[in-house]
Amino acid sequence: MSSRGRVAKTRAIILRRSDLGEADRLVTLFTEDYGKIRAVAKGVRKPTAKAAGHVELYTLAEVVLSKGRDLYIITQVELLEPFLALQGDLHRIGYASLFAELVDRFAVDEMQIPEAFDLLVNGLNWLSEPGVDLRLVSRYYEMHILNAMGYAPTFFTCAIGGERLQPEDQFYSVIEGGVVCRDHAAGHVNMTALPLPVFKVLRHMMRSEWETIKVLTVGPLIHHDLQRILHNTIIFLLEKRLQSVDFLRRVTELEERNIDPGHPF
Amino acid sequence: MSQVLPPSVTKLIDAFSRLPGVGSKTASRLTYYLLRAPEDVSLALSEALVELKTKTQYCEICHNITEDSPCPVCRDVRRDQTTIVVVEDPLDVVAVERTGSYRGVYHVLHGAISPVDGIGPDHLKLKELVERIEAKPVAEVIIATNPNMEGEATAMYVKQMVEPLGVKITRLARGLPSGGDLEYVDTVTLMRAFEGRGDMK
Repeated sequence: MSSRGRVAKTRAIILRRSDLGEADRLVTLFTEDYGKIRAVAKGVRKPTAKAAGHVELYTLAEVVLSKGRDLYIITQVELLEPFLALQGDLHRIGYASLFAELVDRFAVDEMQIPEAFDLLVNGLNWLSEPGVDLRLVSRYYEMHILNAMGYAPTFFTCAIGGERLQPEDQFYSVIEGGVVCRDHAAGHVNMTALPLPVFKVLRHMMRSEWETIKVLTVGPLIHHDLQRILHNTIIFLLEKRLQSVDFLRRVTELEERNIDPGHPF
Repeated sequence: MSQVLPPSVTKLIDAFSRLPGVGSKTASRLTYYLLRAPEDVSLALSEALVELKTKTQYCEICHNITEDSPCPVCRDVRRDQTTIVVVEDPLDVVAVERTGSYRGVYHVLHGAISPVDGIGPDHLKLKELVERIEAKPVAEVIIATNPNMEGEATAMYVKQMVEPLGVKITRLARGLPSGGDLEYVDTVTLMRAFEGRGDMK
């Protein structure tokens, strides 16, 4: 959609918003057909705006876009899925915001990435499931968003030697972009030990559907390692901290303080 | 253009165009209006601009913008000092005051939590709210942050921080706007309107 004035309809997830002018909003959308774009939602901050409730963060909407001089303009919008379960829970909001942050940082403007769009919609659905292991949803999403964006770490062959990896304790290297076998890891710096149970979960997550993964019970130690490996990989690629992860940490701290009121502020 | 216009004119145009919602066309128009207008218009404007920054400060109690701290609302003995409305911005205080029916006091957070933009709890006047409630007995905290994702996240965060202090916490109702049209209302708002429906008086 390059020529000015053309109109197109597409499904989109709202990634971020900021106020613009008197009553407009500038929104970053991840659309099904045109990838990440920035668009203006005119007049939505007025209380009588019909479209106001349809342009909310981390919701799925159908938007009609027209190309303006510099930006797209949202001419019509219809909320398709509000993901209501996310709104009442600070942890879920934090994870939804992490999902959006990852797409926003990795996606190039106006490049269609259908796998990433489907993954984001699915990810928000999975987060909404009652009783789900939110950390597991997040790790699964992180791994597959890396895959969709073309940054998947290697889990089946050694990232240095290229030979098939055996199911045993291995090493992980952010710089090499994947798992490294013991022989090739020798003498290299920046290698993290990758115990077999963690290695197994990573491989399983890489090749299985979410329905198979969601029934897993993952212990706190393995969770800790999974998070460290995936987040270090992402931070290395983006060269930037993840704001939503900092927020999630704060929410957890606040909750722990409420459970243990003796803890000082 | 820079050779045609005197530096004192371009300087003002540049200054105007740094304001939100003002482009270079509007900035030029404002500048030329002031050039042609009587001198007292621009003098009053410049005086107001200087006073804006030199005379104002944050109220030590509610963190609203004021000329004297504590602000007139916090000093007013006729107002109920045990009911606090928590809002995002000073302009929200103006909006609540316009109703003329609220007789309590305020607490201005100066923003809303937005993890993607890197605005976390530490950027808001949240700790100050807790200290304020600990220092002086409060009967009710009314959370009046905006009814959107950031406002809801902020509301939940305030609730979690204030809850251990044993204060009654309420949240402004969400529902249909006056003069609105039911068929255009989004599903979320309509659901909230049903949840918050009241007995007819």
